[in-house]
Amino acid sequence: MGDRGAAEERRTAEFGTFVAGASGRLLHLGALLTTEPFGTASPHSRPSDSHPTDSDTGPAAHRTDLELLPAARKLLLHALARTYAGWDLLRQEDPYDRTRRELVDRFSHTAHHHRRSRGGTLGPLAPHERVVLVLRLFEDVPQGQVAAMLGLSEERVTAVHERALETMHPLAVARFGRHPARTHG
Amino acid sequence: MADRRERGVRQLLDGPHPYVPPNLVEEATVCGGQLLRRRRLARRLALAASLLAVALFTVWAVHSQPWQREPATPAPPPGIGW
Repeated sequence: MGDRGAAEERRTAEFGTFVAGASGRLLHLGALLTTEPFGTASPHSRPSDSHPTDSDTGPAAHRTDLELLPAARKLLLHALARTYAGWDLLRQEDPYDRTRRELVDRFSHTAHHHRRSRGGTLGPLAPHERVVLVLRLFEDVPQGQVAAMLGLSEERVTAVHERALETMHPLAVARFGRHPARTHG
Repeated sequence: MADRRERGVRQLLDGPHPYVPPNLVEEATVCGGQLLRRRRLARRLALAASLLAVALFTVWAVHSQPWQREPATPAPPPGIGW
């Protein structure tokens, strides 16, 4: 039993380090999928001092705003719990990839809850289009891996990606203009 | 063309990450621990059930010895009906 206690302690410590490093990005991913808006209307403005609004919405209101991502949080919690439970059996798999897979699986299985837009960036897209777009462009997962993760053919992934780009491109142009800055190399 | 569209949409998705509630690790650890215990229990139950099945099969096999050839039914005594 002592062995198990030590293993649990080690697992908890490793898991804590992993979550501290990865949860921000994973929550971002979740919020993109659930289309819950969070206080980053413009990526160039700092959330703390942007949005000069009415007197009743000060920094405190903004902070509350940031804390509210219930659906994305639920997805992430579910995914993290499963990663924790399988931590000792991860072998070669990267815990981040594993958690991302769990999160996307969970989202896909409960997609009917997320069909309607909650007002976030990817609101105009259908759930499966969001998944493909986010995996391809936010996570830079290669096409073949996306197809394998979702159990679709590569042609289908390409078609869905193309359609999602067609929907989102005008919105990107509306926000950033025709020539966006080169953020990725 | 496709590349430019991707760049624009990428910029739309990027940006600072949202605020992560500090108790997320604890919650995930607790939920994950429960899940782990449940999985262990299920595995133990499955193991116990299979052991029980093996034991029952052994007892039955020793008792009824199905590998033994059944004794041939004795032929009807000659002379009856013929």
